[in-house]
Amino acid sequence: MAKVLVIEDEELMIKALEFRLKKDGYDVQLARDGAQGIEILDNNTFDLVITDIMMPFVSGLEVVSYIKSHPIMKDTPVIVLSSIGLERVVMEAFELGVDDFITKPFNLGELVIRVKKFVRQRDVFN
Amino acid sequence: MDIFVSAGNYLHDLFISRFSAHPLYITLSLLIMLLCVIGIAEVLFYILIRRATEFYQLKRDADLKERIITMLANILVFHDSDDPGLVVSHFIPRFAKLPLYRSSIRRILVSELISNHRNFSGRTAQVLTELYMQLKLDKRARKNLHSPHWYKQIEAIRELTEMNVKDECDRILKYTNHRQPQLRIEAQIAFVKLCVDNPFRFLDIVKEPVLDWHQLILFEVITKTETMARPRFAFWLNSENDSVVSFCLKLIEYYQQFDALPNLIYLINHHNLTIRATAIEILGRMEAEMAESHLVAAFTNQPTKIKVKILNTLGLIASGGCLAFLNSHAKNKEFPVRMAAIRAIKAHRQSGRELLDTLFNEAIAQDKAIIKHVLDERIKV
Repeated sequence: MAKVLVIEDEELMIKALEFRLKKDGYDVQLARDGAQGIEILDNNTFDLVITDIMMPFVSGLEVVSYIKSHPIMKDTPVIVLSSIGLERVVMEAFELGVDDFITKPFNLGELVIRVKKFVRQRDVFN
Repeated sequence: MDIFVSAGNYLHDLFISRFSAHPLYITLSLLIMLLCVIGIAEVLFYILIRRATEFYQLKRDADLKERIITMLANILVFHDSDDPGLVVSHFIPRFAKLPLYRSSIRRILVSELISNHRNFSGRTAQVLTELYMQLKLDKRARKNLHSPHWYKQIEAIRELTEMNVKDECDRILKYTNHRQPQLRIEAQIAFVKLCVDNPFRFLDIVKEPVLDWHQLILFEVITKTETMARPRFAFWLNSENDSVVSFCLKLIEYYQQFDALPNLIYLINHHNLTIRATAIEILGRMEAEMAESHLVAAFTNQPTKIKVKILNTLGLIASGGCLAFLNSHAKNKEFPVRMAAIRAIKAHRQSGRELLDTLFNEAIAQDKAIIKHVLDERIKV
């Protein structure tokens, strides 16, 4: 079962992602902010990380930077969720090594398709 | 313990045993003190009860919020393929059990629906709108739309726009010309977003100015809404409202509506100098060769600022057809005009360069300095 970490501060968004990904058979872990996300990442390995950009305490960009500079985690695919108008931040995220991004508002179904794609790629790679 | 006993004895003595024996002013003072103490005790008791109730309510609302979020998350992931109406109908009995008669609960549900409608698109957003409508949560916003308070109207407009409630377009249209600027811009944004068939109809009725910052916000909304129908903005170039004309000019340039060029040429003689200048600049940026003769014809009677704009525009068009005209103004008495004419000649590349060489040879010292200055590639304008 592929393991996915969702880092998001909006309660309904995180719940919707959790329910939707669990429904599709993923093992989902949740973090309500970047700091909590990094803490979970330190103690677990994941097949995919989905993170929001604008979050309290530690931003999504810092999480991406942490993952991509980590010797073990650096190959974990990361999808960032960004609001419309944050195109410059998305560019920055790509420079940090992020694998994909989705702009809010987004279609839940589309996100799931992207998740499937990354997990499949990782399976093939492994 | 002794201290409480002795205080009690003292008070008993003061207020009961010797009360009738006190002189009148002492009795009155004691009564006032007693009333004050009772008053303070009552206030403290009231604050205590109020805080306890608030704490209990907040806790209850937090629990309900958690429940609402879980219910919403469930509805959002329920059978992707189903029609949003059917999905919502399936969940309505559960939502109906919520104490929606309480305004705080209604507010929590509406705010969750609004913020998540912003985050999701497609079917998920449709489900949220359907839920909002089926629970009749739009009733309050519709009522507030008729409120005498502009801030309540704004709140209602925002809510209805976010939840994509299109049937209040006519009411919102009326507010697009409201004298309260904040309500006006909110209504204009809402109208552009909601009235997909004819989003710019409000430009027909706007008599109040579309302020510069309103134009910025509207421009952002219009250019970022990909599905919006874009009309021929030239239609509003003869509006009596100058701010509408100025706004449409920006949109014409952004969408490169070349069929608007004849209308832009008409604006070369507009009564408002700012509009005149903007129209001339846009003609240049759109390289409207057809405008050259009109610009030349209108040149003489213009103020210096507009003359310079015309010369800059002729430089941008640079068809070569106006070199003689530019040459005639290279020796104009007004310095800014002379400078702009020489720059426009330079913009004509080879033919312009040749003309400038000839002018340089014939020029007096000051004109030679201007030509040298214009030809200096290090100086960017």
